[in-house]
Amino acid sequence: MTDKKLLAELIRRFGFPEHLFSEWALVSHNSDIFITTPEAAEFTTIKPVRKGIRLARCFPHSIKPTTNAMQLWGQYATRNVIPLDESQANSFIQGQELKLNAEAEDGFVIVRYQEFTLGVGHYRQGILRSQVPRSRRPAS
Amino acid sequence: MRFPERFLQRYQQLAPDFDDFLQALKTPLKTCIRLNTLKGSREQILARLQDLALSPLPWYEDGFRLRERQSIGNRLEHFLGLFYVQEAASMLPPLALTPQPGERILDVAAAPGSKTTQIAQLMNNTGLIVANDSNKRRLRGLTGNIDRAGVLNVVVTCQPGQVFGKFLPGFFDRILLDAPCSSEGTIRKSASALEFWSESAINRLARTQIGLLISAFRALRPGGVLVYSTCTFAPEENEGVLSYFFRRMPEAQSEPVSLPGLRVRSPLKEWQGEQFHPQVANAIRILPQDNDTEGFFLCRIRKSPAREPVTTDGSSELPPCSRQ
Repeated sequence: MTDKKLLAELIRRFGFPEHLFSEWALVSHNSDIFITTPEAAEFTTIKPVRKGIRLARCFPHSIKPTTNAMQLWGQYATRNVIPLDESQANSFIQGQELKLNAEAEDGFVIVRYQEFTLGVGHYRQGILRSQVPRSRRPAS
Repeated sequence: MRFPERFLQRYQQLAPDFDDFLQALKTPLKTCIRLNTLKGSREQILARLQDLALSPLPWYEDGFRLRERQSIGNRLEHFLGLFYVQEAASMLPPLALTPQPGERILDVAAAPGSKTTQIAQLMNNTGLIVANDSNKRRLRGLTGNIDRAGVLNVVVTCQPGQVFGKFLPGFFDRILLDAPCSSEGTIRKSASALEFWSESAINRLARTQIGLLISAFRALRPGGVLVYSTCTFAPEENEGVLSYFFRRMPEAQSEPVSLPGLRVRSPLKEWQGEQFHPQVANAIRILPQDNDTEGFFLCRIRKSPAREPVTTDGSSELPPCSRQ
């Protein structure tokens, strides 16, 4: 899939406003899409380690948004969003699995606590699996 | 805490209140945080931190000090990137740099990213920050903090800091050189700086700092601003580096730094028989007893806009150079 198609799929799955990402630049690297400013995307003089933050990882039949990006844009999602209470939120950010019945399609979901987006999870058959990277989880 | 005898001898002339200086160095630092307005509004973040005993830093609206010792790294708000644990003095160089939205900024020695993420916040995630660190092992910490803080306007590079003058001459609107140093000012956080303390290390670091400063200055556009900072007291790494630099670079002009509410000391005029260049006089020293912080040193330097058109309103602040 091209970057445009991937972005369209991300917007469709989560019901984002159509032009949510239009002021930003997308940079592909292997199977990842990074999101950054146009000025940073144009910078080529010195070899970059990376630009901006990873927006999503692409798989052959799906696209997985990252926790880091969804903490910025998850608030605009209108579909496939799962709200948690405080206790569930603390379990989720520790990487734990939660059993719950949510109004969401199977697949990647955006997980919220109050007005904040915690990150991305994977929901299937009543089980929410946290996708918060180990490096981001608070020490227990 | 035991100070090397030579350390004590050297710094008696640094502050008339030398006993207070030593006492402050022996006192552990209180934790400070910076609200990260890239992730939420100031009011929204403060509302979530109501249970903490926070005192505002008088010179920075997003800086706060914890009045009590508390563990805050495991909080949900930290996970969300709503605040960044950052020593108060470390918040000063980005403030002295005064980055503007849309500009091109270079952070020469960026890891672990406290100042990079603060600069991004001051620019409201616009324009470009090249966040460089020559040490590959330190990049993981830098990228981790960029991720957590939600910094989008950044390009991370891993190059020796001395390459920027050669490859990107005149490119950047502003440059922060928070130079690798002997870290004497961080003794309150960790006494490890004293374990390896030596005057030969100070002199070696000063030579490295001069190379970094000259290269960084070449990467600055005419009219642009560079902030040179260290977290050490050593005059060789501070006034000494600047004095050498100002002698070599007549197009460099130091400027006063205004941070109302912050108590600062004047730089030294001479050290061990060396008279420093008059331009060094605008630098500031931050001593630990004055604001209950680490020790710090910084100087704001502007590159002469010699061949640039003069702005019509007569201001000295030139617009960012035209984009490609």
